[in-house]
Amino acid sequence: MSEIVQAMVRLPWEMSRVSVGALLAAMGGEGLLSWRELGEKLRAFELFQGTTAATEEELARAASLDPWSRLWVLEGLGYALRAAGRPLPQGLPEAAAVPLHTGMGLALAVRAVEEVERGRAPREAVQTFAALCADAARPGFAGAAFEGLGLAARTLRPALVPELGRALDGLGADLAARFWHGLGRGLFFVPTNVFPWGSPSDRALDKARREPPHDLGRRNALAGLAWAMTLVDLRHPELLDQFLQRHADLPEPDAFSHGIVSAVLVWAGVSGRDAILDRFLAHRSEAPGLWLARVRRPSEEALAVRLPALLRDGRWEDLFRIL
Amino acid sequence: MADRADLFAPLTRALDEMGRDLGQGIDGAVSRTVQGLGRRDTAQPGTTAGFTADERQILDRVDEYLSRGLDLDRWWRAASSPGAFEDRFELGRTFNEPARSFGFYDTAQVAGRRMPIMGNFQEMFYDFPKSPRADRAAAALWMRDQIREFVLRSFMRVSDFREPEGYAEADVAAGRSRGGALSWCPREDAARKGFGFQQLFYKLAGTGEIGRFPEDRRFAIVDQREIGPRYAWILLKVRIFDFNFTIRPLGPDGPRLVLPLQEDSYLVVSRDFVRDENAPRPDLLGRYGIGYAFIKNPTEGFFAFGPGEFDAAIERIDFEVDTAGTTRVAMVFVANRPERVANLTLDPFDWGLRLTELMSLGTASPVLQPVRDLLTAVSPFRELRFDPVYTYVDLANLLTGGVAARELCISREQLEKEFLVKHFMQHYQTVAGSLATWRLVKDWSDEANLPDWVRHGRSF
Repeated sequence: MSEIVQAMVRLPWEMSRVSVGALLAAMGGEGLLSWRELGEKLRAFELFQGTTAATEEELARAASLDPWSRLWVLEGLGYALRAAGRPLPQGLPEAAAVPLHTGMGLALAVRAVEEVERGRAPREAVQTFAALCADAARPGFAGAAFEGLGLAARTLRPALVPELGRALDGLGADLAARFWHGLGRGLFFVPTNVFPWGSPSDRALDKARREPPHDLGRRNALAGLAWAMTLVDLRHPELLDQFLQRHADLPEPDAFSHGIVSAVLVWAGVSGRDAILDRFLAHRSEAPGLWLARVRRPSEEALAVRLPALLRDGRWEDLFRIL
Repeated sequence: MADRADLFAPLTRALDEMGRDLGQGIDGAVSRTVQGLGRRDTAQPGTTAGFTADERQILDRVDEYLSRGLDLDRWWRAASSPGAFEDRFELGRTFNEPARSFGFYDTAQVAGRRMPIMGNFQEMFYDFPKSPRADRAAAALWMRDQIREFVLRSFMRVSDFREPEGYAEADVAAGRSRGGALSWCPREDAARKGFGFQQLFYKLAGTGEIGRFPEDRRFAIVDQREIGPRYAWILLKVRIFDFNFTIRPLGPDGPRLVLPLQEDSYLVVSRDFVRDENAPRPDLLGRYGIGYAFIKNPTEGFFAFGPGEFDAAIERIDFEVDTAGTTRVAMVFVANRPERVANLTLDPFDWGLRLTELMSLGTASPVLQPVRDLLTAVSPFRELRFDPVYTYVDLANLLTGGVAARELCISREQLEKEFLVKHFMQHYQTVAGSLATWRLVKDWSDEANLPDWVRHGRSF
């Protein structure tokens, strides 16, 4: 029965992607961009969701894929392993560590959110979740795993977000910041911000501004949204470019840029400074000053200074929040 | 004249909030549906580590309910010594055997909140060695060692037992009658008593890996001394045989409603629940025991209380051997006080789904679960529930000004006490039944020569 259900899930995803591809060929302008972004989201989700806990096979499959697809498969592997109650493999490739940990964190976060839904005290659930992340993650990655709590809460149980936020406010700025960062990342993927009418990214931005109850939350939600948007749309920089042009007067530009830069650093950590990243940074925008200020300059600086430090010290969790 | 924008501001805000809530509701419902549809089979080729969605639902609950069980256990350890409870009452009577038993109500800190709890405690004589006066010290030590092996290795394998049955010879051999329900011929059904444990899953202490016990080892419950060093926890399923809950709305001579609480219940055992103590007190040679926390079933059924429906519950069974070798067993059960006994939903969508599941003999459940999740989020009837049992109790007391409770014992407390009595009797029968098994084996430490049915966990 489960194989039938799996096939029933994969078929509509495949059909959706094919349909989106056909529409892209027939459309133009802004509508084209929204549908293109939808296609990227669907593909990313399909890769993530379709990954099993067969570590050796999935690592081999990931190695054979293009860098962008590899990222989602690795995150899916981290999720599947944790969902099966199994730890991340020992001696995992350094380049795979970030997505494996974010996937693992998401699986733990889903469980924590469902426990709160069933009546467990939010503070207790969050503390247990944090302890599990710390226990299961390599040094320097626990915070990356924890960030998945905001994503899990916002996608699966949005009504619990205020309660969880209040519980986290009492546990320190670091955890609270990560939660809202994850929420922002989740806003990019929630169903009401997926379908390509009326500019879904603009809706996500509006929610990232409105849903957090304080500045720390808003800044991190914006950064998280930017993080997700950058990685999903990395192969199509015009998507991010158009978004930035529509929101040239973004109130927290540094927070949004933080998210873009963090995503670029993660990409560089996983795939190295490759052709996709170079093409992204070198994108010829219709507003070159804006692209330079918000994307290229901060990214190049981070690649030159911060990336070596990350590769040396391994504190990748610092990319998953702004304090 | 007030600004028109001011006049409409509250309405606009309300509409905004409704829109936001609706949007978030859609996000959650659709996301959960997609998650449920895409739940992956995590089987790795060549291993037995694949779990179904139903199994993962149980496994996902282990940490939470183990934590709650440990909270209750800590409460019991603190409360049991002084013996002070908010309310303590006599529970159960035994004759011919020295025993101590009582029920109690109290409040405990569980899962970060104050939880009203109830429970029962009973202590009874189990056995003593019969030996010449000169050998009594050696006999007491022998008894201690035997009890230790029996309790920690074999008790959970033999805790269900089959009652001896008398029968009259029939012209037709039992089981060969073709009359079905009309036949009066004796049947071969076994009347089981006690607790039937099966071990399903484990978590390894070292790697944290979760695995499934092989089918042929389900009843051979692991030596409890392996929990901690080898297993972080084990997850069991227990069926409490012959656990029927009887309600007599019109008194003891009137018609009665028998609720057969035959549902399997999931349990988790961790190191904290295993007692393996040599000389814990000057008057004791040893104290050895088993225990577990109950896990609440993930799917809601008709019964809102009972095995599989506790918000938090534990059971401990400890055997103490004193310096003379006399062995006593102490049993304690603690659980949350029920808020409902029965769970009749008034949601027609839910009825429709249950009917579909029933008609499909359960095969449609995996496909229907995401639909159920979606309807749970949007159905306006989802919170409408009705407990016919407590509603009757509350109505009876409302109409009689409390006379029903004071004079006729129609009260929630009475139902709770009857439940505790039932539980008390079940444990009494389990321990009393185990005595025959205990006496049947000459040497519980000689594992190689234990009867097959003890080693494999199938009672006779």
